Amino acid sequence: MADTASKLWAIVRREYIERVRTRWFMISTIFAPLLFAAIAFLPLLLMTKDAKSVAPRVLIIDATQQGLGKYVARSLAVLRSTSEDATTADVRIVSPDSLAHARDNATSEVARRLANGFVVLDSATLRGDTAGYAGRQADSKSDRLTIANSVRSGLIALRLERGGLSASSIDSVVSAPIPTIQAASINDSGRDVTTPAKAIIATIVAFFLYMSIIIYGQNMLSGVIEEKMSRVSEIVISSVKPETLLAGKVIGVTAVGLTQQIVWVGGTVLLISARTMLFGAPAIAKAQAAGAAGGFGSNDMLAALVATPWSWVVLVLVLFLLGLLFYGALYAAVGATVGSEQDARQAAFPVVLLLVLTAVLISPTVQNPTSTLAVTMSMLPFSSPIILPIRMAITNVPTIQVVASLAILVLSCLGAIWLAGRIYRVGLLMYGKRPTLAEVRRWIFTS
Amino acid sequence: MTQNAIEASHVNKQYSGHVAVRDLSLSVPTGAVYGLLGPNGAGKTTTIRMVLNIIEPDSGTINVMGVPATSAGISDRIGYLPEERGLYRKMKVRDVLKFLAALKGVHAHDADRRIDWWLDKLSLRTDERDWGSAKIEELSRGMQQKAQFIGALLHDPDLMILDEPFSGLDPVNAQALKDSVMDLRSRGKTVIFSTHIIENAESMCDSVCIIAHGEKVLDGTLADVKTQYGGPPVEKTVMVQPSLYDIFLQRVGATGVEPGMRGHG
Repeated sequence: MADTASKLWAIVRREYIERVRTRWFMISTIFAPLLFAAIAFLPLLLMTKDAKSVAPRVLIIDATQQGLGKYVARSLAVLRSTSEDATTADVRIVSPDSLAHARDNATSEVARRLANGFVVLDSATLRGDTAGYAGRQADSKSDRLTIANSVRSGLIALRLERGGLSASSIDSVVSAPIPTIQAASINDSGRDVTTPAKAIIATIVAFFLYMSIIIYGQNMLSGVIEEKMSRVSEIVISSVKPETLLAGKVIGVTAVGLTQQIVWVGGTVLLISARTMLFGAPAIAKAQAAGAAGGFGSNDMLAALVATPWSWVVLVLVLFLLGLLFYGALYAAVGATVGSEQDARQAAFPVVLLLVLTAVLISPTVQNPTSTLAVTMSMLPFSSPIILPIRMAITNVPTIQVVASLAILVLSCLGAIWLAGRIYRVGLLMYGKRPTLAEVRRWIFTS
Repeated sequence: MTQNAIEASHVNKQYSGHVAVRDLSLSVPTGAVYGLLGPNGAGKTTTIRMVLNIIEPDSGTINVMGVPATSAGISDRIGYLPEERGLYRKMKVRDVLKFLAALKGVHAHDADRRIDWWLDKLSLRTDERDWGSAKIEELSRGMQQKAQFIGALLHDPDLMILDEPFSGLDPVNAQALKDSVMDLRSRGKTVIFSTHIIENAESMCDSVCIIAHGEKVLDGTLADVKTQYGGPPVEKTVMVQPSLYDIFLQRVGATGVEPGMRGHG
């Protein structure tokens, strides 16, 4: 006699293998890590491209006749943090009359990719009013900010020189290093460690969790309807209890979703680990330096991804597993009550509504992860699998809240599976018209 | 005395306001081919589902092979072909059959061997094509029905329940299934089939039960039913024209061509 466990295993295996074999599964499983890597590597890619196509130097056209240019060049080198830039910063001292001509020459050089851009210093600059900047990335806010800071440092140095400070002292002022700011925001509950990159990662992960639960929930729904309408379920429940069939389906579909998530996490980790091989050490170092200086490119996403703690990843997977069990059971219950895909869309509306409500709350949670709304939603079973990971990524969630949320979710999963089992048992053999709510209530509470 | 394969006693089943089965009692002898006859909506399928423990009766008892129908493990001794047929359309025939076998506790290795045997027997594996490696959706309706029949038999059940097994089958496939049913009987298995085609029941069944409006009308062995309810034998004289076959035999004979006939060409 085959025991229930081996029959359950047969159902789980069929659900798993048949879903994993599909083309859709293969494509979506490979796609996500590539997307994550693309987001993380975008600054590196741009930087690699820059290094090849545009000369990394800035021309400084100094028409001040006071020697401001050399200080601006020095300051710019410090701000850009690489010695390479310091040697290639090209200061051209010109008279105010020949400024237009020098500007034309510089424009031509930038056009021919001999330089990245040029800064124009004149009498207005000395007054602290304006300085000119033209270049291939002139619309970049961070570039403009770097130039403005360099010019300001240059002006300070010039005034110190006029005040009689020695050249070496001036140089030590201008070349004072820029410290890396370790940002720590403070919210209602005290110190917070939010960074924009973390918030972006949390939002992307939440979005993926939401999409996965919707997709696998719908997958479960259509699977149940197919079995019911083709009457295969009648053959299966002549061999196993309906509750066993339901459990097998929910576990099988959840396992498929979990497999995909694990491949996504593993693939992303692998690609990030292979970044040196893909882009070369100099590009990585440059990106990190630029990221630290907050200058011409940001490496924050990659840094935040690398710094993601494993405990968080594991918790996300556990929450995803429980979320899929919860929603899988609800979707299966809905599937058992309907007789066609069209009916299913209507009947599944309340379940979809719960998910959409959760999705709507992703952004407010990211903005204020300690608000009452966010805390409440991270406790409720229908939203906690998506909301709790966001809160945990960007703020310190008290352990008691995490434990309570997990406990509520586990109990709710058991409840949902029990409820779905009761509906499934009767619904699978009901063909024809959709049952009323009163009838469904009777299925649940009549033994 | 051999126990009955099925003993149902005073079974009732009601769906919201509608009585599906009323006070039904029946006995199915072990090793018999038993016909459950009745018009559509008579309660045949509900009775079968209660025997299979897919649904529970509101009252009454059902014993299957000596134990209550609700007993753990009894389903592994029953094969079932439901009236409405369908299988996982995207799966390969062999994979579906292995899945159905696994649900009955048959190990994969045994299942493969048995699947080969049945595919050969029901002509789903020939020199030209092995339909076992095709997807269900690639099979014709008759082939799908045969595949499902194999799925119900792979665990070599002691009791086979077939709900309207011959509906939708062409005469050749229907005969293949009938032969298989008679094979089962010769091996001492019990077969119950529901049908509303009385000729099938008469040619195959040892015993029958007629149900209408959820109630038993009569039951017993075919001979007893005929004796008890059919009255004395009636001699019928039927006037018919000779068949084409008779004409052929008369004009051509069984041995050769009529003298003087010429072949074409």
